[in-house]
Amino acid sequence: MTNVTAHARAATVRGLLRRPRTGSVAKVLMITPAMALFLTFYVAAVVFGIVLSLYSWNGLEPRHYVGLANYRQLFSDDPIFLTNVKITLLVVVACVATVLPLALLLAVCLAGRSRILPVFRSILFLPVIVPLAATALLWSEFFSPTADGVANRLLHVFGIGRVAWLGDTTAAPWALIMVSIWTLVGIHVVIQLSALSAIPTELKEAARLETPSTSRVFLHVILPLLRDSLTVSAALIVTGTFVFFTALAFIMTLGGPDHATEVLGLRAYLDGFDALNFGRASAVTVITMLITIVLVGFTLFVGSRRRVEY
Amino acid sequence: MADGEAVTYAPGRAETRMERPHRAAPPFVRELARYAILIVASAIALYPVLWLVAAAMKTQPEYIQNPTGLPHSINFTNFQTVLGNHVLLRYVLNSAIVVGCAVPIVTVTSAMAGYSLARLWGKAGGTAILFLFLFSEFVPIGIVAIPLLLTMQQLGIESGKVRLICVYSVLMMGFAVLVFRAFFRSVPEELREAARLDGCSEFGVFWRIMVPLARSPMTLIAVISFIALWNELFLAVVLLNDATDRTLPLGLTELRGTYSTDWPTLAAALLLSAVPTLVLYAVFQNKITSQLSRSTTRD
Repeated sequence: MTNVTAHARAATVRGLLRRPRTGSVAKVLMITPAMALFLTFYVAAVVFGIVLSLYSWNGLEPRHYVGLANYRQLFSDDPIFLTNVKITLLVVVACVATVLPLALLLAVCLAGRSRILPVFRSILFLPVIVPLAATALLWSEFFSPTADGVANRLLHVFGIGRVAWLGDTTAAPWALIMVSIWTLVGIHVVIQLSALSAIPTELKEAARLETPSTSRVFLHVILPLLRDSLTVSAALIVTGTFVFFTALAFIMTLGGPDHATEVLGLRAYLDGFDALNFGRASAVTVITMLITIVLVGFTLFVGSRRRVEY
Repeated sequence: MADGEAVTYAPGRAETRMERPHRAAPPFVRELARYAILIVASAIALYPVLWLVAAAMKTQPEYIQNPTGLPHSINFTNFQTVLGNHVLLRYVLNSAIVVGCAVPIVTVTSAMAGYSLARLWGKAGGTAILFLFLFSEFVPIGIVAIPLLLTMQQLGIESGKVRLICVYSVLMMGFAVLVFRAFFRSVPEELREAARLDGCSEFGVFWRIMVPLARSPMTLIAVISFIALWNELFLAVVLLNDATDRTLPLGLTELRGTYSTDWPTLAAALLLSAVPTLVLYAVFQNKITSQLSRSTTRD
């Protein structure tokens, strides 16, 4: 008897859930506000950027269609654009190559039972919370080119001479990369740390029974298990630096000296606001999007090969 | 995400006391290296911030004489100067308006979307829409800043504040939808079925049952969005054309001109601007870090 009522109940539930009108109206209505905002203020901008990159437009007069001329101009007779691409790639590669190992090392150091370790974790996360404007202005003062600048005073302690820092074409990109690393490491330490602590203890114990070498356990057991979190971190660093570094360079150097820190995002900004060439600014944006997609796709591809699961 | 679960960070928690004697004590050298690395890294992370605090308490002549050391005395004159700057207070007000509107919008719309994707759309449809939202994580909105400005002009949105509210509502949406979808998937389906049987509409289920259950992820998304938006700079640079609409981060970069020869006062302004996010971080620290890491490693 109870079985029958249960069946009836289940049938009613199924009927109610399948009732097409309320269900499908509700699911569409509930996603509409988010989707409308998302489509209008993100997807539309992406599409509009692609369209505008085919036009010549100074933002005031009517725009006219020029086909791929903006792109052709960027690639064939614009030596600065090649510098922009190179600097962007340098920044991304340098950030991924330093932040990932550093974050992993610090996460391994932070994993443990001691009461003091969370204090270190909080301190390492602090730069993530400092507002970007404050970070940029703080480091601008820090890298003051005079002999009284803090960075130069530190160098003096080690017996190294004065550096012009943000005024020097070689030093400037590296100074900004250092600032990026300072800001980015904390969040990736936290990501790796949580992946580390998610590894079952029995697994580590079992591995330790097999070999007494901690480094072999780390290389052959722990590291493969961190593949997913390392991949996510790498992808986040790639997309993050595109935005983050642009803002940093905007405040600290405005792309200078001599285009040495002019990454693609800044180039698009300067094309739009300084050169009033919104068509070319859009073309630069489209190329930036393609580079991001390729880089993130590559990261995810490398990260998903030979994935291990236990 | 029950409160108990929020503490993901608990390394070694699973190890029981019984197991400990089996393991040899870690060599002294290894522990020494670990703390040496941590102390050096923490010093590098902390030094610029401490230097900023010290500089904010110095007078200008004192700073020129001694830019790196401790201040002679604890003095808050620079902070008073900054708080007396009416232009700066307007920037604070602008930021408060823009962020204060965008945070509730992103929290509520993403929660609805996340619930809808988790429970009402089928597996295929839900995943497809989720991927559309996640596209903004691959190509961040900052990259399309210029086309976004042109879109705003086409739409006839002239007010800088409205522009920023619209964009800031979308900035954290991909992340927020992902988090809410994961949360609502973890809520037992039976809750919804029971409520539906009792005659509750789908909206009723969401407002009366799911929202109260989701208080914890909603708070977190609001806090994380607040921190991100309060600090956002580049989109504000591109989208605002009226000086009266400037938000605080943008205003600070303008202050650089005003106080170009007075770094201690600028340092005080920078510190004050960081107060809201630092307070939020201090209060929600563990939840923020565990949520950030959880949503990247799961799903």
